[in-house]
Amino acid sequence: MTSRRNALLTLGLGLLAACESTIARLRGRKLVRVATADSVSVVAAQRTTVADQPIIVVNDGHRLRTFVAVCTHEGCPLGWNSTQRLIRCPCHGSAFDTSGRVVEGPARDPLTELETVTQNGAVWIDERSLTPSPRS
Amino acid sequence: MRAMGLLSVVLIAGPVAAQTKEYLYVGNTLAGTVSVIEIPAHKVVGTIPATVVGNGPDDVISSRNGDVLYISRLDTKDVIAVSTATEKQLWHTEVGGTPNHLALSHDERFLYVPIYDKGELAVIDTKSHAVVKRLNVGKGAHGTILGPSGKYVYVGMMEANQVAVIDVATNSVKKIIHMPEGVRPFQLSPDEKLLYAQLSKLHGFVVLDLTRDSVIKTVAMPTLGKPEPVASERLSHWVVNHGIGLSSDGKYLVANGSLSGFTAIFSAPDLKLLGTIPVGREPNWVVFSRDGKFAYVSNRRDNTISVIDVAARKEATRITAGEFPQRMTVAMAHRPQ
Repeated sequence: MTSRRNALLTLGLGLLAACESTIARLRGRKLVRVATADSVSVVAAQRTTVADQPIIVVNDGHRLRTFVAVCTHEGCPLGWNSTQRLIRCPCHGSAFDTSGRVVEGPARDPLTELETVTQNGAVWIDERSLTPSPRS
Repeated sequence: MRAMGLLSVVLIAGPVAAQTKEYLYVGNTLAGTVSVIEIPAHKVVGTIPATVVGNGPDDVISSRNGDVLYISRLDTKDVIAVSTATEKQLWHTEVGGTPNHLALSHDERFLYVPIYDKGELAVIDTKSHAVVKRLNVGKGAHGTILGPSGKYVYVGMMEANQVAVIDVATNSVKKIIHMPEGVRPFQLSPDEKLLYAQLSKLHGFVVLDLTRDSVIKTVAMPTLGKPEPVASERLSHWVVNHGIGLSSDGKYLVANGSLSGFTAIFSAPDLKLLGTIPVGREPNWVVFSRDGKFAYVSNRRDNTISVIDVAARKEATRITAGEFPQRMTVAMAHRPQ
């Protein structure tokens, strides 16, 4: 019983440390809320725009991740195909999985992932980590 | 007795037939829908939903009498046929790769589907709905147009810097024409002697003489007092301009300045610049109304369609479509009542 309690305590402290570490890294930066944590279902995604930059928040089944939703082939804004559970390009059909990896070309490079923190039921990113949209 | 007579007339005549009207069908690639816009009212009168379309529609074209829309879909690598009368799917055919811009043979028996990632042109038999032939045309097969004579289909390659000419009678490659750069949207003159093509990296378009298979002219697009837009591979895969249309009488050519947010009207075939018109963000495609009075430009980054009054050389109105509108077609059709 004691060992189980200790294990839970260790796990809790570990998660807290990880969260603190992320918050510390993001401290002093301009955090922008991009989604509510419970609005993105498991293996699903939600698209939004921050500072004119398309963003996609993905729940990969383990955690919430945020990517710049711009195709690495031609710079087109990306969509989410809920049937295929893939991030899709509307210009030439490139596809990316929930880790941002290319699963179908013509894109060759993975998506740019943004440092993401989930806190107080919301998903946050640092606005200054974004670069202006290439096609805007 | 008189009432019976009237009833007989009504019964014989049957239900009143739906009126055929001119519509602009707009494929919204991110929404997975098709907006239906009535011409010349220029009002959205319907949307073919994602449950029918879906999966990243790339191109939308219509049969000659407007009863069928053919739609290529990027995500599912197929082509679907949709009835304009019911706005329901009639059939679909998987094409084994990423399909781009479509063309239909004059007799409507064959649908030509460029497969971007395979360098092929797939030929679908519209009766059996099967792919009956695959032709090697070159890397990055992208745009496809049936020539006005109906004898040849032209395929532009984005990666291979060439145009393939397909003999419709035999569905075989007649010749390959080398181009200076990757071929983006293009048009053919009514006499099929000239091909007007936008190219990768070029802020303008070229004129290809099809009797000599050589580029005879490069037309620069205006810069409107700004630095010339520069494309790069990383940011735009060399796109500068995307979308070029030719009126059915061949007198007006409309070309988009896609990185600059305007469209330009040229006289044809002399290609004198008649005017430039600011449109929405990232204009992508151009089609004309059947009478040639209006040109429609899809602004894919702000989800709108600019309606260009060609004679007045100005934007008559701007219509909100679905998310990421790209390809469009104009058709006379009956819509569901």
